Amino acid sequence: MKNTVKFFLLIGMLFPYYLLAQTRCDTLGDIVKGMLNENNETFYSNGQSYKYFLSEDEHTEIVTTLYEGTTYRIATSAGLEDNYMIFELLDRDRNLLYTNADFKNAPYWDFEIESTIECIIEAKLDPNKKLDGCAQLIIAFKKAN
Amino acid sequence: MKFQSIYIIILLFIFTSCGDFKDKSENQSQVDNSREIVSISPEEKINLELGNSFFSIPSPVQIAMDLEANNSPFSAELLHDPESYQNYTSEFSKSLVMGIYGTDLAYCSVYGKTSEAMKYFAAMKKMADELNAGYAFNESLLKRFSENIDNKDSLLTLTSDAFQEVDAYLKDNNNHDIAAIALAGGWMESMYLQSNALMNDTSDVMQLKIAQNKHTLDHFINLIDNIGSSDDFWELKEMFEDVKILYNDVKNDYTYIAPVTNGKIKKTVIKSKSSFVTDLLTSSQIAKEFINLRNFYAE
Repeated sequence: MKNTVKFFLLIGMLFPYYLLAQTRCDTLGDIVKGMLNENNETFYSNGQSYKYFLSEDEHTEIVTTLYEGTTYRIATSAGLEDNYMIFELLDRDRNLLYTNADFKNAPYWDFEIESTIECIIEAKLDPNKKLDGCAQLIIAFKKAN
Repeated sequence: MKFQSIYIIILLFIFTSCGDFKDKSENQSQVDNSREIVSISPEEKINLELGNSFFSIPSPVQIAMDLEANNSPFSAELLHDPESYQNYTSEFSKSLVMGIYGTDLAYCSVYGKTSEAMKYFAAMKKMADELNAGYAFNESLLKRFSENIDNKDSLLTLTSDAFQEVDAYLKDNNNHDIAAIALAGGWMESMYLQSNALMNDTSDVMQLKIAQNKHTLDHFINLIDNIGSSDDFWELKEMFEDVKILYNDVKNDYTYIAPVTNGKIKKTVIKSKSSFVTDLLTSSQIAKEFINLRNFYAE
């Protein structure tokens, strides 16, 4: 009986820990969504959730078609600081089109597309800022002006 | 005694991994100490790690906006009956139809058809409930939807949010197959609307809209290959492959041109050129195949 009580006490101690980790991942979504309205703009999410657990030597890759006449905003977050993530936009031949590493790991960036193209978005944690953890990325769009 | 040991181990576990910061190793102590580690439970890691390669599919909102921009008229008769949700019994068909309703919601929202949008929002929620994903339509989303139904911009944001919430909820709960099929259903309905638009307007612009989805179809075939778990998936894949055969006649070339970046406004203009070469016969055949495909699944 005494052991059973101890067992449930331990579970009780671990549960908030689990919730804390879960909450941290969940809050990234709100942080990234908030970036869709920055600079007095309104971008609409493409409706897909890209959430990862990344370790130091891992990167994630999203293959996508970017359509002409559209401006896209790629927004990322891996925590409360803005600059944890490095992301790159590559064309289908893996030519580098943009990296936020050239702009102090800017958490979001806009891309105006002149011709419909296949692209690859690569994202990873900046090893100088964060070693591992949850990361979230949103691809959003608006019609080009 | 045994429990005391477990207790100590668990305490050590908590105190060494619960904080925002931890040392990577002694060798790296010189590295910037502002680095952060967020600790995640192993269970959560499993949920998130389904391979780190993803395909992004164009939003139904985006495709509907394209139709509106090209002066394609709103066609209520094309939409799937929002009351027919009861016809679907398997998880696969429910997932697919949830995506179809989602696109119909986007289509109505873009064209400012608010009362129809409400019906499709409700139909999408019912299907999400059937798939145990109704929680994604939380109270806040429902309240915002009913309060902003007459504001088109807000409606489009909320429609996109609804897709995002459902997708995230399904993926967080390890239902990647349902999430993928819902996406496929949504895209199938978008292509159905776009194909019908081509039947009324055979201009080069409309032909090009169909042609430019060539690679998205490839992404779906790969996606189903990765997540398929039953004959329903393989049947859908075969039907997509039939469309792919027609797309083989659409030629696509690509030329890299250096992009232009303006750091002040955080914008890069992608100048690279890509061409899709198609003709009316090919575009019409693809459009008819998409219409047949959608009518096969939407009862």
